Amino acid sequence: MTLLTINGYLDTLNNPDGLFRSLTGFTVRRDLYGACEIRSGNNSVVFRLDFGSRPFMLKCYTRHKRPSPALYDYVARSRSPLLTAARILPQEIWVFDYNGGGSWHDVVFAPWVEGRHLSTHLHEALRRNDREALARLARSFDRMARHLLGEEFAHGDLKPDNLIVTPAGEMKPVDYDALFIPSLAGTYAAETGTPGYNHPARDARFFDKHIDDYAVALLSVTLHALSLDPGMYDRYSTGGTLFSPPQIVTGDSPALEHARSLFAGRGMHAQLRLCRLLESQSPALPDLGAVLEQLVPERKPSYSDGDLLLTERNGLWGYADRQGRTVIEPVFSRAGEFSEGLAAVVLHGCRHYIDTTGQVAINGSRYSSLKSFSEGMAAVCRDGAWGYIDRNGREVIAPAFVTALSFHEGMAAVETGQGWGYIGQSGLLRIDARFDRARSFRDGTATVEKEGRIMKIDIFGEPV
Amino acid sequence: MYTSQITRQTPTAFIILIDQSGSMAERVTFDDRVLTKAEAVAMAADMLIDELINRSRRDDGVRDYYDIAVIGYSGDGVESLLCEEEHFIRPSRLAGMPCRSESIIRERRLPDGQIQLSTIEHNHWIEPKAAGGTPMYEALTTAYNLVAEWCARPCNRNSYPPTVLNLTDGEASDANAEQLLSLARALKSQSTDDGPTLLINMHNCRMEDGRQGIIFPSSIDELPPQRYSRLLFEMSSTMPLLYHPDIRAIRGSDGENFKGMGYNCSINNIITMLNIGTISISTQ
Repeated sequence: MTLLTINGYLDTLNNPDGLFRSLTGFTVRRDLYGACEIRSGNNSVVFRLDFGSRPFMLKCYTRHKRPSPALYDYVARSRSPLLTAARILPQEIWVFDYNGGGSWHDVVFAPWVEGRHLSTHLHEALRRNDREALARLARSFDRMARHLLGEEFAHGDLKPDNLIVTPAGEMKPVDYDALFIPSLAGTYAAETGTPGYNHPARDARFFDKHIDDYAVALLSVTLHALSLDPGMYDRYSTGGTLFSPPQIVTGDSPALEHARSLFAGRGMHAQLRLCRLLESQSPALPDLGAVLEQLVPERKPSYSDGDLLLTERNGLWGYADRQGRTVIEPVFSRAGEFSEGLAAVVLHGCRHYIDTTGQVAINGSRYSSLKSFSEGMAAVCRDGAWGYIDRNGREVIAPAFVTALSFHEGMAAVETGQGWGYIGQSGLLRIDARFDRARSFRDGTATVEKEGRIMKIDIFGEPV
Repeated sequence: MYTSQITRQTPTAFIILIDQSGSMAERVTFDDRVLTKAEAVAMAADMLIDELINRSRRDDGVRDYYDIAVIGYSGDGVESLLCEEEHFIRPSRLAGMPCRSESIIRERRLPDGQIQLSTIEHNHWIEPKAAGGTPMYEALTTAYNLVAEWCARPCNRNSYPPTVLNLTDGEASDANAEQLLSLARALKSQSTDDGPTLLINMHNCRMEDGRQGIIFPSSIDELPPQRYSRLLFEMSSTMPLLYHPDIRAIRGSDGENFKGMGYNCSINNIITMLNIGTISISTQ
């Protein structure tokens, strides 16, 4: 067995023909000198692959670590906007060894998240002594954290290198290998995060929704403190972080004392409460949610998909909550159910997707038909052909199909001139169009019909 | 011990000692090419340096997680091979340094059985050399001085301890076993607050031996009953726990108390040991 190295993966990415099982037709993003652009982490290396104009992330593992099917199955099914639709491509990439042989390895494949890591933004802002930029980062982080704490999952390894700041200034967690998901309750954690951002007492036995608590509190205090005094980073940082959790919990953190004085002098009560929470002897911080509500007050109620029901008045459609109270006025001539926070509607003859506040999120006026969002994409029809858009309204798969169903488990059934097949989120056929009819995948299988015979197939198109 | 995370503020140090004595002119087969041992070992070191640079790449550029020194020892003495003026170089500086690049065409068998001709660009950070005797004691003394100075820096107090990786194909020509053992002990006694320096010795096989390489032995009984193999065993550090999963995966067996040494190693073994000795350590 050979250790997997970045060199090994680069070898494959530089000469990819015949070394990928399903991914084809891509170019690897390169720098000015022609070298593959990489983002490396402790356990992995990430490449950017461009399929035409559509960018995707390819994550390859470099240590004795492999992606967990249970985690990525959850991620693929999740409707949380905090999670990108990442999935495992099993045994996808071949890596050579030095004995003339090699082996296949799993990868994680996902739409590329535009933006740069919080670590980059943080250090740039510190170099410029830009307090306003640091304050914006703090607010963005608090918003993301409040949302994250309301989810049923936890990230598990929050740190500046695992948070992307999008061009719109929002923060998105990446790297899902340390996730806690409900089905793993009662088990031990496979990873325990990065020591510099976690409570010293965190270990594998501590594995529930609260595994992000300490990192959330630490990062929020860090960003708020630096926004008030950027120079404290050079004065206090140790091991690459502003604060040392072991020093904090033993009551011996000059950095935290300084942060306290900054917050107290400005009446920043929520941040002071976070400082107290950081001194907890336990990694779980039950009061954290209340503090974040103070930091990020709700402006209006937010609704999940099942909370809003279609309601009709005078031939027009709108939405009401479960108590029958109108939330979105009936103004639409046609309207669909909410899915992943968006609903397809027709307003004054034009098709759109609206969000749960009733605002137009995606202008779909150039399409003749819109389907519900599933796994971050929606089938749309333009000029008689079906393709897919993403949540930003970008056409990520150009209209080319006779008919198209929604994505489920990373694949969508589509009808071409040759019959029905299945595409992946790259738009490429993963199962050839050879069936007379096809239905969506559920639990790893799909029902198809060919020459009058109905059968179930697996994700490789083989009969089950 | 050996729990410190490698960060930009608390980098660790790798010192690679390369035997460049005359016997390194012997031929070996590596990656389907016939090379001298000096060329093959230089390639292994080149790949390690590339790997360390790539492992340091992040969104914001190349981070300086490591202080890297490569020292050659031959009949011409002991010299720094990465930079004439100084020993330690950091990844961001290496990434910006020009180095000789060679296009190597390889013939490989693809998984489907087809033959592929592919070209790789190999960065030559180290120029191979094979000349004269084996002043290993002098090289280890240089390493000792580097390590002692590095550990004494206040900024490195909390850092992951240095690792010295010594690649040789023969015995020292400038000291006896007792002197080498004493120097190895002194070198390993240099420490940060996170633990003592690690010394890993890799012995490259002689063509005529033709025996199976032994890497990371967990007992002296795994080694042939030879004075030199026993000497390397005594000189080498016991590998800390964090290396054990990778070591067990490579050895394909359980075991404990693995010694940081390899005897009668092939070039593949050397690459494996270099990788385990460096990239097993977490960065933050």
